[in-house]
Amino acid sequence: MECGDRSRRFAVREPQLALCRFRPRERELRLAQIKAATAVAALLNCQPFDAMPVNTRAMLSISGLSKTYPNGVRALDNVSLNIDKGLFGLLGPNGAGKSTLMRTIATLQDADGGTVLFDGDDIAKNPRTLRSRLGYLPQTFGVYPKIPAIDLLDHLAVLKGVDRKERKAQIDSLLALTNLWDVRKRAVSTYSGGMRQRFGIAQALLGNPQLIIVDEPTAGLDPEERNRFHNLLSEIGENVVVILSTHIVDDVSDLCPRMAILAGGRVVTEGKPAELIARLDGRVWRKTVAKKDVAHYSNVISTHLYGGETRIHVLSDTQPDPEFESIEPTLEDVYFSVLAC
Amino acid sequence: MLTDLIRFEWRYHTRQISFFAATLIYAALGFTLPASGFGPDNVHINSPYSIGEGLGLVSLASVFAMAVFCASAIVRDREHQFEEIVFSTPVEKFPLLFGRFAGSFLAAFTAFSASAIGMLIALAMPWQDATRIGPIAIHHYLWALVVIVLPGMLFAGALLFALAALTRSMIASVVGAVAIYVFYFIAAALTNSPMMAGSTPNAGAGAAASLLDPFGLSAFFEQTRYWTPSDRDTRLITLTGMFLLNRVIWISAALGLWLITYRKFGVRRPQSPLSVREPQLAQAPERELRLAHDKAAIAIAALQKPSDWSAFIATTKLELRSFLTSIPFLLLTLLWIVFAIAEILADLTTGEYGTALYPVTGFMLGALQQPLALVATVVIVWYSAEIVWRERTIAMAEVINATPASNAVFVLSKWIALAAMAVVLLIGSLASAVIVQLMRGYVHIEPGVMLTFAFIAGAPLILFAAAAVLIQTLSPQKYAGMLLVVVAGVLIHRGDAFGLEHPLLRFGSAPPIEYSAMNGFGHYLKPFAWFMTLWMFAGALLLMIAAAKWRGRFRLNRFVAVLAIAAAAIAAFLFMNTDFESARATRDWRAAYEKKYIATATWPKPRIAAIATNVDLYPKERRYRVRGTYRLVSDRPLTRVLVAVRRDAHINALSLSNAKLIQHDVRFGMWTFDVPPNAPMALTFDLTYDNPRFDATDSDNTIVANGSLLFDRRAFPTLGFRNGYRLQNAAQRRKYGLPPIAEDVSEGGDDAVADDWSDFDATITTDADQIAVTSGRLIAQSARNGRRTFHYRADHPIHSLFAIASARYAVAKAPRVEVYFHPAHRENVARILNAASDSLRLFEQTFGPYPHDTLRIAEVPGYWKFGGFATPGLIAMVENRLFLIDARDPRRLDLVTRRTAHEIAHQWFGHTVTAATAPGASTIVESLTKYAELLVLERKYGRDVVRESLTRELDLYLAGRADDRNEPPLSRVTDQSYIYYRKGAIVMYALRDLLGEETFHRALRTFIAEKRSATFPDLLRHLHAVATPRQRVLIDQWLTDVVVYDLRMTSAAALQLANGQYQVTMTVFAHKSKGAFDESIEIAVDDAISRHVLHEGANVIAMTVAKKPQVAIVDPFITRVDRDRFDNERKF
Repeated sequence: MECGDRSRRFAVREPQLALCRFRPRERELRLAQIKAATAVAALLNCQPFDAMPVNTRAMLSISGLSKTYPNGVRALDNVSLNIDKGLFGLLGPNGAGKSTLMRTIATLQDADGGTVLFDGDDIAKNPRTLRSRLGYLPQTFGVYPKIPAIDLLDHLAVLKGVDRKERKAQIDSLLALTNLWDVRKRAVSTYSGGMRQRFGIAQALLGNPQLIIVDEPTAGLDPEERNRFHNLLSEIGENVVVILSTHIVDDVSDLCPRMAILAGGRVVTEGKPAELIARLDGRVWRKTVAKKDVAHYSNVISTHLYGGETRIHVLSDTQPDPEFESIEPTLEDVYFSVLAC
Repeated sequence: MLTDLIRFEWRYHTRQISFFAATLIYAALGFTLPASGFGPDNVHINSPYSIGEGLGLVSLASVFAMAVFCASAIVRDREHQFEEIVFSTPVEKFPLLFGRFAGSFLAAFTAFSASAIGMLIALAMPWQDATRIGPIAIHHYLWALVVIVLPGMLFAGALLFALAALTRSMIASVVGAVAIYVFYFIAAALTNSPMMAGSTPNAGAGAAASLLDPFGLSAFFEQTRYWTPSDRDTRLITLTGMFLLNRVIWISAALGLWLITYRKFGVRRPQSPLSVREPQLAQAPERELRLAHDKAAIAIAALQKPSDWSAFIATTKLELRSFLTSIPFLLLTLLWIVFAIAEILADLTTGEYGTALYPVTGFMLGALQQPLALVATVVIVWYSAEIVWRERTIAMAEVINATPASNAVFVLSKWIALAAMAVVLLIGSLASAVIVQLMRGYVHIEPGVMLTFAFIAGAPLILFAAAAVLIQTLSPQKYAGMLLVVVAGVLIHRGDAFGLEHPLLRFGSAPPIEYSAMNGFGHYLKPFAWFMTLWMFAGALLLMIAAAKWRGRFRLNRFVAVLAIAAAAIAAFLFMNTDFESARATRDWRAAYEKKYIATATWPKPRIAAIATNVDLYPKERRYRVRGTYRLVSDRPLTRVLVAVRRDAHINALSLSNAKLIQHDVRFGMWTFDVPPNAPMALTFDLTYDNPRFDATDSDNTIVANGSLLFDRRAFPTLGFRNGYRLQNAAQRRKYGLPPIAEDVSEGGDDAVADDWSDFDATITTDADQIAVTSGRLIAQSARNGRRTFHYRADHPIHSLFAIASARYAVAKAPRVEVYFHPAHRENVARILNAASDSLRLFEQTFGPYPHDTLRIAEVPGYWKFGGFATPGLIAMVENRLFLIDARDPRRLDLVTRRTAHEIAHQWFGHTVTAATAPGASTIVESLTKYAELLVLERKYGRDVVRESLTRELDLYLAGRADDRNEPPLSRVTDQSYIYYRKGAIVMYALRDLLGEETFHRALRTFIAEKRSATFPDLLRHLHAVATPRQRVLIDQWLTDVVVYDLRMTSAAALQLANGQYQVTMTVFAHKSKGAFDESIEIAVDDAISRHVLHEGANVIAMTVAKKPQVAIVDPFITRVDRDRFDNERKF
């Protein structure tokens, strides 16, 4: 089996070691989860991603990036990625290292090892060059109190080095684009969550960003706003590199031509969403079961509640039992299956 | 529930790094006080008094802990966006608020208590002087912590907690912090707390003002003011009187604030009452939106080059706006201005004897420098945490840091914002000075002085702001950073106590500056500017390091090296060019001098029979040359002669005729000559003094651009051992193994050393625009080659204590009196002339003829700390202690006349009859002079002024004796000014009352006329000669013993008689500490004064008065040293 080595390394040895930091009860729970995942992984046809050809011509080239925090948490473990113009989706569970990766690319922190080249430039050596071409929207952010949106945007535009003449035009367009024009004179600190998020988007788009990093950008947006934002991102993505980090798998499948899944500080898979989905064709089975029986099934990649009943997705080359129905795999199935890898 | 909350809060705080930082800092503060031998020498460093004072002082710094603990306890939910979660729990308001407050207060108090432990540890240090450590009693520390520290901390905690809770903002609490210090300062100024450089205690109003001090220190000093050293070693402060009231007031205030907080604090109030209506999705047609998008795209397409300059301007604007529009800062500025005005007025109007000074810009601003430094430091401590951490606190750091603006942009703009706050407060100070001038009707605005002051006071603060920015940038946590900034502030301002004496060791420091109205900032300005240049480079370096660290990673660039080299070069230059001697080195030198030369103190000395000298003054260049010859004679055969010259003199020549130089001791400036017996001797000398270097220790104020004053003892050679070089502090003497000084002062008057009387001839040259004055008759003057020459010669030998003054003087004359004054200081000249003429006339009638042709009074700069200095025929008077006194208010005591009269009286007591160096000498020189001064005032203003004066003298005497374990009588007084000035004034006036004016004056006249050099027994003999045996008993008790009286009016009742008059019956209690009471004492019922013989115990006195009586007083004119004058009167 191709991924036998990998699965041992990932699913068995390391996670169990890592479990030492949990309390006994918690540890038991996690251990159960890992056991289930290990079984799934055995069935998976995990393609070794690091065998993929390195595209040295990519706009953003990340190689061998590692970071261990002083408290021992290994946030990035030899991460290599090549990202070209267009939207790039970054998926991963909490604590996978997404934020560390994005903060490192945004030059907000240094890695312990590895390099990040943007447009051929080492960003650690010339952070300023990168910052002048960067749009960054952190997952959460605050604002100066009592300062109207238009003033704050203007201030940030100055910091980004936007020319006085262009500033006004840019800010006006962005205010219109993010639908904040009517409230532009109100202090951002008084905005609702959605408005504030849109403000965040506006500031990230200020001043010619060639690299846009957005962390959970649509959190707190209503569906309509989310749509508008997606349209905007994909338009912008035609010319620049956009890294979109999210928990929402659908966002990635809707938007991103390419994506990667990060877990435990490593890139566990990378590719085009469609291709990744195609790999699971005919191998995902679904069954509605009683909640108490879930534990009897092996190779479960996910359980959902649907209409009050529990549905499990099982990965298997063959139909596990006749009550299972074959389903069309989704990116979500890819995500869950890969996490177990 | 409540205890759980308190426990959680306690655990939360005690786990923060700031808790450990605070604990360490308080322990260190507590440690330093006793470690550096805190308090007077005759009190144990661990006496209850010293413990109370020490912990009280350290508690001044508790306000910072309150911000870090109590204020942050209530704002942390908001700072960490935890508010919603906490407020959505069912917790009640009371447990929440109280739990937070109690837990955090407990943590703060625990951290503070480390100061007591620090104090205890200091006792065990090997360098401690064992004689100054008393028995260790833990309860003394606990008691001080509970009654002195706890209430003040409770109030500070409640106030900061209230401000933080009600505004939900940390920064608002800075207003509270400053307000607390304002209360403290006002109380300290009004009560003349020993902490302030004040002068006289005024018990009545002062005691009430001590209530204003939230820390209770003023009340503590009020209660302990008259404690003797043994009281201080044994007594604990008691919860009585003003101290109790003070504590009750501030605990109640804390409770009140707490209740207000509880009432007003809205736990479940909406976070921000906004009715944000989501705007409708833009109705603009899709096309329009696209257009906007295109525009954006176009704009985005153009590549920009980041401009740090515009980013800097924008960021600075933003930073300035954030505090200039903030209510706390505006309140703070207002508070500061009000306080500054109050402080200046207090400083101006609480001079000696309650006199006022003219509001001269330089002096007013000087009075503000210390409080300004404190308040601005507090502001910088607070706001540096706020400003440097702002982006991180509001979670905007990521967005901002992802912009290409360079680190320097943020660091510089934040520093500018902090510096601007200090500048706003500075401008507030200048405005207050102008306001006070307008209020006092004396408008002399001096823009030059103001600008210079702004530089002197402002530059160190702006530099401190840079240090604060760096510390907060490097600190891992906001509140820990805040405490570290406090530590930096303490080290900069009080570093000398921690061994950082040299100004080069304290960032932003310079050699101290003294202002004089005559001489401006004078020669002090240049070294200051040089030091500030150094610190400017160093400050830039700090900011660069901060910038290097700003975004987390540490990246230095090569400019850092350039700056470091530049700063090091200037530092090296300053180090090489600054004269600095540590306090320890000076002590070593003094001790070594005494050990080496004390044996020579008993050598017979020749007398200086004639002085002929040429003095060349170059005030602008700050150098002078003295040449001359002393003709020496001796009554006793000599073998050795010792000549002493100041260490800093350049000796061009020094020789003693007919003598052989044995040794020239360069370290001590001592010359030892072998002389043949009975040969005539002449000491010839040629010395130059100059000041080409910077002075970090005591700057030489002898020769300055305008207002030079040379003393013979400072500038000229002297003969024999120099007593002035000896260490005076008893503890230090013990440490060096030197015997106490008092022991080797001879007791009797027989071997007393008489001062010399010499012929005097002096030729003085000075700059062409200056006038030089000294003793003697002016026999010639001339001007040529840009120099002016004055030739003075005394008609007959003078007491050889002379001075030379030179300045750009204006002159005012009356018969036999000349006043040399700074032309801008004309206000009091007429009054001085009058007082001088009156005094001369009165003293000639009373004490005998004035020995010189003219009396000269010359103004000298405020550098000199004496009230006035009398030499034969020339009196040096200090600008702000005579010429700038505001004597316009007739209700205030006329200090101008008083000082003038005092110094003129010295022409008799001091220069007609001199006192030989022996115990009791000061009684002759100073006590009699105090009496003469009262005489002039009494003639001019009547007897009421005597009562007012002696009241103050009595208070000062009682305060002075509290500090002295072995109080000598007037006959044996040495350097105890509270005896020879204060008690002396009361006793001499009482002697006149006892003997009668004419008899007393006759005794003084014969005493003066008898001989040139007298001792105390001479004075006593003349007084005995005119007294009855009964009077002699009292004379002896007052002069040769220490007797304290206790007179009390225990009851007073009035009864109207048939004829309309009133029969007054009073009970007067009389007691004195020694001897039987049998004295005639005045008793006054309103204006009616009569004498009554009182006996020990209760005396019933009856009087009849015409009008309905108001008040009855025993001894209204203070003819007795009464331990409590407040119980001497009774109102009907």
